[in-house]
Amino acid sequence: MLGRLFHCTVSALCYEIAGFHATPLAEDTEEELAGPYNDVARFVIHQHRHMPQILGWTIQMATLLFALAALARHGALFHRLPPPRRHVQVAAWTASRLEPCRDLMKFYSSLVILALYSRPRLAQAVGQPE
Amino acid sequence: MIQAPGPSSLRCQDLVIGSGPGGAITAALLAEAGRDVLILEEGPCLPLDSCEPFGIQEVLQKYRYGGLNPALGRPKIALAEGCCAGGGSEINSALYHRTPEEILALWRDRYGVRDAGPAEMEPHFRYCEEALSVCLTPGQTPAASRKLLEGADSLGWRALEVPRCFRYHGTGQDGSPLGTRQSMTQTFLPRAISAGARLVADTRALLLDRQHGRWNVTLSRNGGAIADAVFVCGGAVETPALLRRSGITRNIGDTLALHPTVKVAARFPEEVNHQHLGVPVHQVREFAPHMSLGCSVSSLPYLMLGTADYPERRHLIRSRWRHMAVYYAMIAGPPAGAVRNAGPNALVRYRLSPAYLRQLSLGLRRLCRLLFAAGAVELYPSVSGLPPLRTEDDLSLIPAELPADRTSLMTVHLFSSCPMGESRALCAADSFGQVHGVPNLFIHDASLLCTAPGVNPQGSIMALARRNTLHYLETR
Repeated sequence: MLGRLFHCTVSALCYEIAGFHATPLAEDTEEELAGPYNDVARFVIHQHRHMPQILGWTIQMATLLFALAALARHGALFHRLPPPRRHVQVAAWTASRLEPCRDLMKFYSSLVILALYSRPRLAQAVGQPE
Repeated sequence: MIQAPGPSSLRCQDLVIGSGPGGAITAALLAEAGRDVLILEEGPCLPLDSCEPFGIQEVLQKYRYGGLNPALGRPKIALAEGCCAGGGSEINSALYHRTPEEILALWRDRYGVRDAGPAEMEPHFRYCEEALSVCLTPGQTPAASRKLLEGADSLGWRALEVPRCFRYHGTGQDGSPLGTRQSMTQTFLPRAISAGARLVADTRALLLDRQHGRWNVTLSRNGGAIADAVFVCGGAVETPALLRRSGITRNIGDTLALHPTVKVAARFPEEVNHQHLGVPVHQVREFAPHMSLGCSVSSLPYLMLGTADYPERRHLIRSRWRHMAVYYAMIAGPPAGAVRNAGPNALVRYRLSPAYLRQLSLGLRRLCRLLFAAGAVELYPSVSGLPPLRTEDDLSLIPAELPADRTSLMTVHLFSSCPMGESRALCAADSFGQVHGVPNLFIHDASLLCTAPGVNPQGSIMALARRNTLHYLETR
């Protein structure tokens, strides 16, 4: 169950961060930056899986905490929030006074940026859904 | 070109663990001297052209942990290491330097390294330079890279083009030179295999155990290997991790050094970047060896990553990316890091004191000054909370000491985790790489470098590995 919650939260985070980069779209960039972002989410999950074990666990725990923080503050787990509320939570953690919160957002935004702007090569790199 | 044989017989005279620059040259020289050599490589055995250089597929295929193993501490420092046949030489820029003479003198004076002065090292550097086709770029160098020269010229600072390990063969449609990086899979690994060495990829050495005068090595697959002598060449993180797991800990993994690097993206009025920009080759050496300024890979993904602290500018940056490139200020960091095992993985801790954060700030300000002198109209330092800089007056906004919690640092250069020298109080290995007090166990990689050399380390690693291998063959 926790594994599924982790995957859903990561996927929602990827959609939020990638969507932010794609909005508003310039005409000539629409295709490359537009959703869906399943390829980006697959890349992020793949990278997480290959991290050193202890760092991977730490990221997983912090991500679950992030999901639960949404429940406490907005009444629903992060991946069940509507996009505007997701945006508020990501912005809050990005600007947080707590370094670990900022670090978690930086971790995900770095991976999403690398993946998103590597399109269309990303599809070749991460392959098809498992 | 490269073969990856199955586990026919994992007995050998000389076992080389790691196939990066240190391991590959060691294995080739040993095999060519008639020794029975087995090379173990933890990563996959892939040809150089299995993916686009500096692209996302390379990160997935060839980087250790996909590039996600930061040095923990304040600030955290992103590390990039190769994990494939050929090691770091498959993913680096192939820029080549000899070890600076003042660094060799420091190693002699402080660590008691003997017979490694400039004159003694000269033939080893020359050998590596010939074998790796070290040369300057023929024809046009990348425009973003030349901006460094322009800025340095106008400030009167010393700058140069750094030669690369590269074999050129013609020019592309846009006039840029074409060629092949002379990585280990192009050079010393095929030589080693031609001379009879066996390469076993996708296999990690877990433990070294000496019994009855021979080394038994526990492997992640294929059981184990047995060898008369072991050359550990896993790099500055994995080498100390393996030795520590094996109970060999004296001066092992306690003094990791690196080149902390801070970046800034610059926007120019004219185009300086394009899809096939190539590797920037210029460096400002006015402040060497303690500080260098240079230009980084600046493809769109890395440009967007380098400006991630300016999300509100993302559309401008994307639309103007051909006018932009990423530059760096790199310092020779102190040996303030530690490598320890945590579960199955090695973890790195590194602490930068305020003095070094001030040095990085100075480097960043110098770099920004140079880029304005080269005509930049907007700069984006990788320090969150800073606004884009538009004039030299804005340089005063850069804190005198970079904030540890808001600065993004990275490095691709790690060393010094098992320093060499005759000083047993400071060093893990003797002047020729033999681990102090442990027979037939050698270290031949970046771990041996006593301190940060202040230059791209591949030339130093390979020249020392050759010197040490010849010494081993002569003294057997």
